[in-house]
Parts: sequence; structure tokens; C-alpha cells
Amino acid sequence: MVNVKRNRGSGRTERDEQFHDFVADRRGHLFATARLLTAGDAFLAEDLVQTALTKLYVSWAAFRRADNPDGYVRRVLVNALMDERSRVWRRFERPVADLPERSGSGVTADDGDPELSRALRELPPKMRAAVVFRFFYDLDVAETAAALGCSDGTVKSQTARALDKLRAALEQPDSPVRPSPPVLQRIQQQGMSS
Amino acid sequence: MMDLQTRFQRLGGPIEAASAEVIEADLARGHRAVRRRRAAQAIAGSAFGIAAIVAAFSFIAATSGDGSGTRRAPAVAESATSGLRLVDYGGTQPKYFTIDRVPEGFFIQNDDEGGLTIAPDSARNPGPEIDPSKSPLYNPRDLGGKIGIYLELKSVRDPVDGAKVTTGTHQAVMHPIGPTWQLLISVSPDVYATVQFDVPLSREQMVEIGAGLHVHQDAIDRMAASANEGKGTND
Repeated sequence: MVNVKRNRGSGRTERDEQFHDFVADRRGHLFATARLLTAGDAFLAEDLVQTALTKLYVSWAAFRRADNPDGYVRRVLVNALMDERSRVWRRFERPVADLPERSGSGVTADDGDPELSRALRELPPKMRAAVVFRFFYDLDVAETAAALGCSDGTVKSQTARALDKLRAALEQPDSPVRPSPPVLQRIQQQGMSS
Repeated sequence: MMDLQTRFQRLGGPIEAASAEVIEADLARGHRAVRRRRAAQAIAGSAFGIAAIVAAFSFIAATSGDGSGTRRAPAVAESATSGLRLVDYGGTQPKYFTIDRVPEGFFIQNDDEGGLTIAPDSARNPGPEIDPSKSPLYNPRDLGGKIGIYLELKSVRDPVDGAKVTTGTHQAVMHPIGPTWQLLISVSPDVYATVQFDVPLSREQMVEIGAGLHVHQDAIDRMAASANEGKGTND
């Protein structure tokens, strides 16, 4: 049962207060994760964060009861990614002029690393999410599988393929930078041994 | 040389604190979603009772009257709360689909490789005071307040959470996205025909629209072929 106890003075419920604190503390991190999951698309990342936060608010009691709240949030974010991708308007390239204004959200059109963005965009969303969670956030195979809603084996194969594809894309002759071999080796070894 | 982890960090960008306005906007979206969810639940609950009444009426009509036993059920189904009624679609059929039923007063706003957009008549002729480029209602690729129909690969969508239903001869899943619903109809081993509803229809009405959707085989084959092309990249 969702707690609807009201906080006297502000008119907010206890859920409102808890959600407010959560957003204040975690929104920036969520946006950074969403930006990686969307291959650097800051606008889609903002959509993703808004969708995920709305779902969290609606299911706040379940989120608070979750044994692993961080895992719960990751799953919501990945589900939002898959749902967003499925919407028709996401299938079309949107000219910058069509993008909505998001004043105050801190969203900019700068994608930080166009070459890496392009390489990530070539990966299917789940594969991209696998490499982001495994590699960047250093989650283990089980945690990544929980976030993606798939098996451990799929996480291992998706991560390995993602790294192969990223390496191939970033090792093109015109690429000024490349992934560091020891890091790739570490992830591949983890993938094999986990 | 910059390593991949550093590049990921740069792509993710700095961790910025959310402004008070952004937090309030998130909270307001949460409030709206809760209200719409409650309204949708009320519609679904009411519609179940109405559907039972309509079913009983249809049975009586079919077994009485002219005695032929072949009288058709009423051609119109009505949402108990929204007032939206389903009617037979009488316009030009789209390129890749045939549709039998639409909400009354809705038309096909967009029909292309990306799928269909079925919008309310108010999207047809914006008044002089409206700038269509600034209103999503007039953007045929925006599905807010509309129905979208498109094909997608199961390998991309699965697993899909939701209640299992049957639409015509196909199995389907009712998948909620906040206040919006998606009906994912399994039209082949590899392909879903997804109907996205961002309009206040009952569950029975959504299933009825799904049952009246017929996807042309060449469209299914083309979408399935793209799955085969992608094999080896998607587990």
C-alpha cells in the first residue's frame, strides 16, 4: 500500500518528499547513465530519465520495498530505453529544430565524443546496455543480467560482441584514439570467468 | 592515449545537480501519471461490466428478432467513460495494413514505412491561430493522443511484460507504458504488430481494434528478413 501520509505545511505526501529527495540526489547520475544507454543522445536521455522517474513515482512503494533499489532503477531505465525505442517517432531522425526545449534540465546538444557515440549507436540497445553496465559501471554478470532481464550467458556474449564491435569501430584508421587493451582484456576475462 | 573508460565518462558527461524546477516537473509528471492510471483503472473496471451487458445483448439479438439467428452484433462499441465509440473504418486502406475498426472521428494521419498514425479529426485542419510546426497534434510522427501501428522485431522487444490476450487468431500482450498502452500482436514467429494507444479506450476496445488489424504478408516478410540480417548481432 502506498503511503499517503501528508507532510504538514507543504501539502506533500510522504511519497512526494521521498521522491523529491531521490531525484535531487540521483537525477544527475541517472542522466549520465541514460546518456550512455542512448549513445550520447542527450535529448533522448532526458526523455528516458523523465519516463523512468515517472514510472518510479507510480511504483514508489514497490521501489522502496525492493531488495536492490539500484538494480530496480537500472531495470526501469532499461525498460524505458526499450519502450522509447519502440515508439514510432523514435524511428525517424529528428532535425535539431524539431527538438523540444528543455529549459533548466541541463540538456545540451553536445554529445561529448561523436566517434564513440557513432560506435555505440551501431550496437543494438541491449548490447549497448550490457557493455555500459559491465564495463563502465563494473557490474557483475548477474547484476547486468537482472538489469537487462536476460540470462547470464546472454550478458557474456553480448558484452564480448559489443567490445569487439566497439574495438573495430574505434580502431578505424581515422580514429585518433582507441580503447586501452588491458581494460578490454580485463572485461573479456571477467566475461569468460563469471 | 585516451582509454575507453575515460571516453565513456566523457560521453556520460558531468554529474549535475537537478534544479528545483526540474525536480518539481518530475514530481508533477508523477502526479499526472498516477491520476491517469487511476482513471484508466476506472475505465477498465467500468468497461468490463458494459462488455458483459453488450455480450448479453448481442446474444439475445442473435437468437431472437427475425429468427434467422444471423443478425450482426451492434456495429458500434462504446467506451463506458471516455465516450469514444468504435466504428467501421470507411476510408482508404493503408499500404501495409487493413484496418476494420477505428474510434469514431479518427482518420489515418500518416501511412509510410514507419507505420500508421491514426489521429482525431481535430488534427486535420488546424485553425489560423495554430502553428502546426509547434503542436505535436499536427505532427504525424508524434503519437501523443493518437493510435500508432507499426511492426517490430520480437528479438528487439522481448521479453514484454503484460497480460496475454487473443486478438482474432493471434496471441497478443497488453503492455502498459504509464498511461499509454501497447498491444503487441504476434503476427509471425519473428514479428509483432504493435498498436500503441494514447487515447482513452477500454481494454475490450483495444483488443477489438487489434482483432480488426490485418498485416499484409509482404510487410511481415520484409520485417522478418531484417531479423535474419541482424542474426549474429542479437542474442
